[in-house]
Amino acid sequence: MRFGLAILMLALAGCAMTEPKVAPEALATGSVGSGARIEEAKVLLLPPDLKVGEVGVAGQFKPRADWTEQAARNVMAALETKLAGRVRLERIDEASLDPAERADYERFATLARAVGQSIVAYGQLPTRRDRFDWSVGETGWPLARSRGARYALLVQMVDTHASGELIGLNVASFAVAALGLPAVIRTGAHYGRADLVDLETGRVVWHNFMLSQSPVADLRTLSGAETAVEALLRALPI
Amino acid sequence: MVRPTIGAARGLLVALLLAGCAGPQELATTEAGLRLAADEAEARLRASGRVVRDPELDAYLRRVLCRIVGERCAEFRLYVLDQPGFNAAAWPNGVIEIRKGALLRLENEAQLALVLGHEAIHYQNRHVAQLWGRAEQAVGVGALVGTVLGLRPIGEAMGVLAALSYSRDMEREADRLGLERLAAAGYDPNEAPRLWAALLEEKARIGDSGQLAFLSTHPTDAERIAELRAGAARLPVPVSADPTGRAAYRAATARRRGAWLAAELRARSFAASEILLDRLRAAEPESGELLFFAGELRRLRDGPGDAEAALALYEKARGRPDTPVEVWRSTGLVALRLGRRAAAKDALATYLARAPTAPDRALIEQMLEDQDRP
Amino acid sequence: MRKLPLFLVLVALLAGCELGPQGPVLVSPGPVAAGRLAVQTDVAWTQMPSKPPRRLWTVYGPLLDLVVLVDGLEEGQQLFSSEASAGTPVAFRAAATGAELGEFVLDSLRREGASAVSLDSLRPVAFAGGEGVRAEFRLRDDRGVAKRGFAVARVIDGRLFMILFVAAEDHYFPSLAPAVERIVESARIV
Repeated sequence: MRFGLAILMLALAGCAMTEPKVAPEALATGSVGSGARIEEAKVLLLPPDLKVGEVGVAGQFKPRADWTEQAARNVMAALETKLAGRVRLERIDEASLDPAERADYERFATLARAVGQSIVAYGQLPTRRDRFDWSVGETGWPLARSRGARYALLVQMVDTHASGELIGLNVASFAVAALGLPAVIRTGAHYGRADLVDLETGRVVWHNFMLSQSPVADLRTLSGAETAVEALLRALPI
Repeated sequence: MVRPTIGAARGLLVALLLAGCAGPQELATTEAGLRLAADEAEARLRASGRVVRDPELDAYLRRVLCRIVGERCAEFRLYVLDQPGFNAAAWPNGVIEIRKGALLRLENEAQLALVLGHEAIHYQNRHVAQLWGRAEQAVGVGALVGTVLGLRPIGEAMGVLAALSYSRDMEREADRLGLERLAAAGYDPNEAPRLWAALLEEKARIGDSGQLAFLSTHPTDAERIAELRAGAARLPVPVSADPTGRAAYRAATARRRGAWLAAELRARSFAASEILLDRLRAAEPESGELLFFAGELRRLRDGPGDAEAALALYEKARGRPDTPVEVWRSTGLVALRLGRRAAAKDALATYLARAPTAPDRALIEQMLEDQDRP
Repeated sequence: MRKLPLFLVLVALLAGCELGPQGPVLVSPGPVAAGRLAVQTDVAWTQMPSKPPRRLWTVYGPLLDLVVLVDGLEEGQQLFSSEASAGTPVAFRAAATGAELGEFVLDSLRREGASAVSLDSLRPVAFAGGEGVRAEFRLRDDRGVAKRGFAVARVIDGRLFMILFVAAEDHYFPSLAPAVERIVESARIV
């Protein structure tokens, strides 16, 4: 393998993963949040936010409904496999929320998603870099009461696959890179984000984010989803 | 890690070549993908606060939709958007959005039925999927990351859509079918050419202010209107006391009209808003609400002579049963601008007396005190 | 991000990672000169890239909390300089009364995609050594997050000086509002 390509791939690796973030109190006590150890507590799993599609030569993203549906089944199965033995997991089905619960749930979910997005987009700001104190305030209390849950887990993944034309183009890019010249390789990308929220304290006690310019695992297959979930939920303190 | 095997790439290219160009398989996949995008956009729309939630109004719109579309109306979900300007659109998943700026400009139930029915036809005949497919080409992977990270407002994708338009053939199809359905539902089909002609005229008078996004997506010219007139002439006008449903429409929308007019003026497209207000006032010359908003337009525009004109309109509006209490506040503000302190004092004091829970009470009280100072 | 040796940094830049210095900047506690607006802050902020005469400060990122310091907005200028606004711009008018300033702030927020914007109160206050006006409001942003905010403003020689604060109503507004109030109290025109 040529030096240039090796450097490029190393650099991609450097940019691809961030370290998962854990709230300081969890590090200190070895358990997540004050009080109940997570093994004893109930974790609500919000419907994972998934998108799987193709990236064309011009970089345009086309979501594929069939791939996304496959991915949803696989990711859900992978999450349950990974977690069900170790925590009491309860899936939230947004469609079957009763009206009394719905407004509170939406208030919580809206803020939690905004917080999760902010951690990814703004987690490196000077006022954020050396601390990890993100919160959803009290918005999780109604949900904690009505479901008897202590935590909520939010997962988002986007998986893009190079379309046929793009793969052809990549072969050419690699040839260029192999000559030691820098080249931006626009293959498919995998993006994943997960947040564990302590509903009682409102704190985001654990967060991980992955962005790589190569498919970490293909969500359209069960084993691929298991690999992605494993990588994303690595160091989840349970 | 990256795995570019030449063998796999070639194999895929060959497979694609053998599969040929976009067959029905691929179109179905694309449509399903677009549905997915639309579903997600709908979820975000519902969460966004942009939807005007008014159960009575929603029920009325639904009734009209079902009257024009028939049983298939169960496929659609209607949303009134908190945005000024005339626009209505169908999405590839059965959403029909209509802006409150459109509801302001429609004159009667027949026109409402026309607009809803027109969008429904674009959906049912798969025109919407084709339009969205073209929009999708324009959205690059940078937008993907932005969308995924939620950093881009929902409006951006819709902005791309607004730039595209249905083809002449699609419009012709929708027009023909639309006229038939309008007549079959018991409405006067002549409302179709009337509405399009009014929109075209407004655009001609004031140019492209962005308030008529509906015209951008539905290209219209004199020829189209002539075809509509001819088509309507061939259809029977229903025998009914109110074939345009003017009274019914007015009754259903009266409660909301003030808020819509306020939002309309905030968009500051004064030329378009003036045309709209003139038309509304011509139909209801005694309406205090319309006189007030005509004054508000001049107050906000603040061109030469506008302050005086606004005061005159407020004066006419005062004392009428449907005039909002803010007329006193606006009178005071404009009087101040013109240096008429006594008149301003009177008006602002009256405002405070009549609107005890006004959020800007403290400010107005201060302004009154200031007027007492030499 | 882990630290990378220089040549890897160059390649990383090509690969599209953000490492540049002309991005967000730390504002440390202490006195700060925001152009002609001098303030004192007892908490640290991140200053985001912005077009003068506006400065954007945030702690958790602009999706969750945002302070806008305006020093000397001129007649005809918009509050937020976003190209996304359609229609005639919401422009500042130097002759605006307090009531009209309130309208200006709310309309500007609406243009930025806020919905359900409602005014809780609008009252005269002392600001930066003179008479100003304070608006308190609520809104929902484009993502549906419920937010709350206030703006304190004064017009001097036809120019607008203002401090605006908007944050998610749950947790972020109550947590940061006291610090912003202290900034507002400390503000002076120099």
